[in-house]
Amino acid sequence: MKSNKKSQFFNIFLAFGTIAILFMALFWLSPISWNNSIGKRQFDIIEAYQAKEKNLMYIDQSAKLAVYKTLDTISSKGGFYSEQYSCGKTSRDYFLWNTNDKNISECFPFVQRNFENKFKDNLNFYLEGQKDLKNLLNKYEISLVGNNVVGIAKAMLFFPKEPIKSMNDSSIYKEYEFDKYKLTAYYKTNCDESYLDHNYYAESTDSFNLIKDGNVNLGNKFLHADLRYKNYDKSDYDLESWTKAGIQITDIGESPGKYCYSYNPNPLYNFKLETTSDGKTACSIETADYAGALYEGNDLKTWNKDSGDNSCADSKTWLQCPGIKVYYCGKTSYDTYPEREDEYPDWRAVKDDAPRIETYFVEVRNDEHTEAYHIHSKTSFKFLVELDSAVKNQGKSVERDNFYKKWVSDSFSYAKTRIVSSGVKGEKAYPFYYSISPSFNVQFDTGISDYNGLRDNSEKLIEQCNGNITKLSVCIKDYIQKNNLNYKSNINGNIAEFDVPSSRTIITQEGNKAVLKPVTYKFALAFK
Amino acid sequence: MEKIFKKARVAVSLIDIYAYIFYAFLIFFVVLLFGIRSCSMGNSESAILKSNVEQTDANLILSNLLRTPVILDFNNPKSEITISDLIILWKSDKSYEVRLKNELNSILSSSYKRCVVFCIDNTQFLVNDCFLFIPECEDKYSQLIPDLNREIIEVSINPSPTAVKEK
Repeated sequence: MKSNKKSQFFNIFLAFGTIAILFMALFWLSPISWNNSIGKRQFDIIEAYQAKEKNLMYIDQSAKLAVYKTLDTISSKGGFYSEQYSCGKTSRDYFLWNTNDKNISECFPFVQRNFENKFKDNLNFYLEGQKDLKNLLNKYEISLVGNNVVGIAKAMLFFPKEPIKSMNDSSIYKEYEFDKYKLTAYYKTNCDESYLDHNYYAESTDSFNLIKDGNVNLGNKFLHADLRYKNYDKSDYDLESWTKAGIQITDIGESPGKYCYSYNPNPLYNFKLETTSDGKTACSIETADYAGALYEGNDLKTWNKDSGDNSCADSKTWLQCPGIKVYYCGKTSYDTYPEREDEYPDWRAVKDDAPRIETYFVEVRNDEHTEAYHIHSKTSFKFLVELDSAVKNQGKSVERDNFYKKWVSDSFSYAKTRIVSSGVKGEKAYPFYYSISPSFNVQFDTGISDYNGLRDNSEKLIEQCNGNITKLSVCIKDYIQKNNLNYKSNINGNIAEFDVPSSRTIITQEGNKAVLKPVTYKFALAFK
Repeated sequence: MEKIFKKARVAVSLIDIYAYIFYAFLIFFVVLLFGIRSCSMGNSESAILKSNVEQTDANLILSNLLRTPVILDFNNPKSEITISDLIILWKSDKSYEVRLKNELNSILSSSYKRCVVFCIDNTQFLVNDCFLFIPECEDKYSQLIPDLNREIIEVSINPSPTAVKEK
């Protein structure tokens, strides 16, 4: 009997227990299943995966375009990518694989190494165009494996968004109004030595990515003016590893032995701030009232270091664009000892109370104006960059010094970096991240192996046609016909220039147009 | 004694029967409750699910489309490029338009039965019959690709809604 009673209780307990469990399930499950979409997390994962795919697609396309560009460059330069390592070139820019003094083994390019170096530059050029990929710049190990160009990434990509550390180290994720800002300093140097009477203007410019290596790129920024020239190239100037100056060598001097003195070197008469978002200019403002305005001798004023506030943020001269404010914090300069010109670079600081600086500027040393010596002055302009979400509009404050007033030289040690709140457009906390190493593999026959064939034929051509200068054209033609080669040659004296088209087609730029054309190897050979 | 036992047995089995009936009703009631609640949420849920699935499909189709190889010159097998390359060429030389249209038609019409708008920046290419669909470029299913000068080209597809597809 006892057991029967127990069984009755069991049934009742089962019924009520089930009621309780079902109602609990009804209410407990409802916030999970009904307040969130079904499969939301799964779709979040798919979304992150697709964001990854989109970026990988961009990387693959960038890598492919970089291959095209690299092939185009090095094939048109005889396998070199810079004149620096070659044995010279002809007047029509065909790079020589030998000279009268050097044979092919001394001049022949290291094509694979050149390809890898140039490819890396080109790849970075394309990756810079995509803000999510900027932290990958220069972080690829490139190698050629068979017909493939393989890039092994040394940095991770995070999806849906890369976590960015804010300057105060709190880990929040931010989106900025712009992804890059650019500062340009326009400075002037007088060269009014009595018989040259020549002034000219120059500019230094540099772009700063807002986010680099996970850090927001702001604080103190410098632009440098350093007038040192490469001896052999008119269009280039030595950046002295971190400086930028934009004066053409043709602007200096008129004939060998002439030089000019400098007055108050490098007054900064204008500076400009530009922000860009996805490659498009978001805002542009400069201290000059109209673009290109030249303020003769009027140097921009900076902060007052006697005010007791050791921050450049009270500078009289500043520019702002939405989300960013840049203060001009003065300049400092060094010049060379004119009496010890052979020992340059040997800098001395320009003092506050220095008289007019009258050192050699640049002296032209040969008739072609291609050789110029003497570092004149190395000037650094300093700016304080702040991101400030309160800044909604572009604006400026400009004050100028008298031209002959002494200039602040050592202001840098006083100016402190000040960080204001960041310019945040939107914040989104994601529940998870998907991280990948965005390596790539471009399947494209780079034609590196073609150079072996070109070299073999060049060596045979030289062997066959050397000592036959008078009939060089005939000799080359004979060789091409006999060996059934598709070489096109152009002979100028003892130099033969060759165009060898291949079957590989690439997309390349011709003028403003993208065109599909075969890779054509160009090189020149010297005959004796 | 036996009668008493019999009565007791009947009583016990009646209680069991009532309990089972009650139990069945309870389960039915709860199932009904779940059903009503899921029905009220079901339509919006399934719409979200459908839209998510479509988005996944569209992105996948776009990504595959851009990687699709195209041989420009049939006499030269090394003239193989991809649709993304063809888009770059088309951007600066409109003589590639016919080829691009043909390729888009043949690829997209195999994935979609109804209207699809393929956009390169804001230029539209319509695939299939777009009579019932107002063609617009949407960046919901889009991909960025660089051109030779690093200008960013935005490519997107906008398939007509499922409702229109099913008509």
